[in-house]
Amino acid sequence: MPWLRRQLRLVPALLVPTARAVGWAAPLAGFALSLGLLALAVRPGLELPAERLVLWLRIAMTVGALGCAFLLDDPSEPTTEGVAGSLLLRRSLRVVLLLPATAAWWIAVVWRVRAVQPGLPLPVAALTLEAAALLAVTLALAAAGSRLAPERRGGVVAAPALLALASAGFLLPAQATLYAPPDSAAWDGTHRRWALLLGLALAALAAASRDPAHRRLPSWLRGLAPGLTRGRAARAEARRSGSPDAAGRVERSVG
Amino acid sequence: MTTTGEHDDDPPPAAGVPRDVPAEVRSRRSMLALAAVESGRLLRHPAVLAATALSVWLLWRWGRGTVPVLHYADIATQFPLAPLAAAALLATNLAVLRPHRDGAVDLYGATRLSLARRTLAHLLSVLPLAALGGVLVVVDLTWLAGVPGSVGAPHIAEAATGPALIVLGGCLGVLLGRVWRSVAVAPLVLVGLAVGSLTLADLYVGGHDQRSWVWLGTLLRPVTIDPPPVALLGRPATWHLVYLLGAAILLGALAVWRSQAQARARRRARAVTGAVVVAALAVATAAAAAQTRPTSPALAAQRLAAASNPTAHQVCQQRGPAVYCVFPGFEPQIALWEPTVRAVLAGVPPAAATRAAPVTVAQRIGWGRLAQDEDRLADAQSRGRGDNGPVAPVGTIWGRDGQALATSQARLASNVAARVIGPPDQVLEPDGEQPKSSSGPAVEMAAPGEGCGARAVVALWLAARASSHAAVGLRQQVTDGRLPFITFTNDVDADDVVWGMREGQFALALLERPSDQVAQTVWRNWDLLMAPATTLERLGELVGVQPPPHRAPAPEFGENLC
Repeated sequence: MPWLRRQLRLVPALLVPTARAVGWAAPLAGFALSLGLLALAVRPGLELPAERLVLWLRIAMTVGALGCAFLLDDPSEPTTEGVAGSLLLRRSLRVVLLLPATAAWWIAVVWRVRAVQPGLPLPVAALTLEAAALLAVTLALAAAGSRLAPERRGGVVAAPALLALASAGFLLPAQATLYAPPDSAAWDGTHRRWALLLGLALAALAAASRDPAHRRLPSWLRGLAPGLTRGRAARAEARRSGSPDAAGRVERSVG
Repeated sequence: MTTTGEHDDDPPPAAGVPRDVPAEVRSRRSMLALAAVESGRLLRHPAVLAATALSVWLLWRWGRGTVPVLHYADIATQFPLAPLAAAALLATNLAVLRPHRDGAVDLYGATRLSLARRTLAHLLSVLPLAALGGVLVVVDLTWLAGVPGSVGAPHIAEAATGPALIVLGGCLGVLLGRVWRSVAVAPLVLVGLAVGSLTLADLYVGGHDQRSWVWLGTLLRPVTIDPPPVALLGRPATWHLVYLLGAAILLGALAVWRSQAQARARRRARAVTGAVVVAALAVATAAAAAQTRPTSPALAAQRLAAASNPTAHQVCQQRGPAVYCVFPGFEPQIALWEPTVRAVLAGVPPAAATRAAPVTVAQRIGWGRLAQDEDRLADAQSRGRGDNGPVAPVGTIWGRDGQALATSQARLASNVAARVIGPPDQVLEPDGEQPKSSSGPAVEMAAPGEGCGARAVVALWLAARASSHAAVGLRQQVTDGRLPFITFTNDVDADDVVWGMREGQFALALLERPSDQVAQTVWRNWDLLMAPATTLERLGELVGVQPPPHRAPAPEFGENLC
């Protein structure tokens, strides 16, 4: 996969500029708000049933995911369309850069619940799957929303859509529920749905992050403008031969 | 970053505008025109459209379940409008930030409107959305008032709380947009508010007197599941509405004040806005103080009196074989109960029905949730019930559809059946002895054995046979119940019978058999079956049905009821 190798070679050069370009405030505020609300709701001395506790965990998940709705906001996208690093690579880098904070947030959430209610068996793996799926859905919404919102700020679309989806999730009928209580018979079926949702959301994220600059033109349009396709072929040839300052250009346009 | 190009409200008139129109009037007209455009955009915003659909669905779903009690139905319109309030917050915030997102801030410098006027236009644009909320509430309450059996009258302040919440959401969205230019702030503030309201609503479970400060939140459910008479409700609805409107005006005035500060508006205009801020703050604070006062001693005494001797506060009507006692105003509900009561009594041997007549059906509500001191309430109830016999309790809320209908029919039918068969120590013994007088306080919930034995199976069978909905209610309790006993209400009254789970299972098994065959056997052996000592096994021999096996309850529930 020479294309993939070329993309991966750009990662070190893109890391720092991407870290500078990401709006960290929204995701980190989301995580902080989520932890704050959880700390208020799950307090020592307040006996909560397992069902209620899992409800609070799910609310915390939604609040955390809400901040991530703004992770992919990148007003510079129209100007960086032509750079060597694909849109998928640039978005993946944003996600990867946030991963440590996401992991720390989720560990803190689980730790808080465990510390306050040590006797309660908490299905951590299943809840982690829910959190991962919810984050993936949020990012897919943000990626899809960036095509609709001005200045490619997909968070404007993704945040309300996430709130609407989460509310709808709580209102689903029992046969199709996503939020089953921990001791219910529907728990396993629900988590198969969450796993499916995770897969679909990742596929949607990848599909929505196809580089608009690298789209293939329809054949009738290629026939109308043969010069254009020749130009693209020539540029592709130039890229294959290797351009020493490509990474530098990417850095400048992202930063 | 671009700077906001601001100017006074009275620039030279544009071409085509008559010179004799004062600048102030021109500016106001422009502001109203902008408000009209923004309100149109707000109403067409995808979040608002989705929230409207959700609100309509929630109103419909909550309205169709039970026969409406309008002084409770008005409270139930508040939560369904919360999605619209949330959408108002998000959509107005996006509208305020639109020039920043689109890079059009400088272009506004060419218009005649100041930043403060534009802010005011955004605030005014929320009003049509609030009017939409008001229309939804009015349509919902009109629909509910037309439902057969509908009782009560809506409180205007409770009905207006939902639209006031929309105004509050919109004003908050505008303020957030004027303070922070990030679109991420509004959704985060929204979830913080939503979760905070959820927590406060949870804390309210104890009732107004336990934590009256939770009224500082936005939405509060009623305390009891069954609506009490309107005089005993005691919700500070008007003060809460004033509190919400005061808070909305405060937020709106702060947004305008912030805009004036950003644009360095004239000092006089800022002073006027400052005065509005102070006045709104005073109103909101006064309303907050008024709504968090504890329940008045007069109301508490009234509630205690009603709880200790509900009969004295009810009006009774004899209809056919039963007497129906309801709180004043609830009379239309009697017609809804009659078919169930008649059906239960029709299944009893005529002699037994005559002996039990008249059965008293009376409304009861979960007084414990309204009481300040549960011990005092229990004392008062035991004193007040001394001279009254047990009644067949029915809630003040009556199901209209689905589970609510099944549960309320099952409760009424089973309680009527329980009154027909009488308490275990009052029935005729199989050998025909006179009934023994009831001893001990009758308030003891589920007097031992009342819901147990063959007589309880017969009572539940009679109840489930009375209507298909009552049968569904019994089946739900037997199959879904985690507890080792059966009740058909969350607010169990002293006169509600608590039934054994095994008895419920046996009654369901009897329902599977041909009804006439079982009825003949029951009527033939009525006196034997009514004896407290008759076991399920004996009943099983008589009807030819194997009784369900004994099952040990989960350890956390202690021992079996029977």
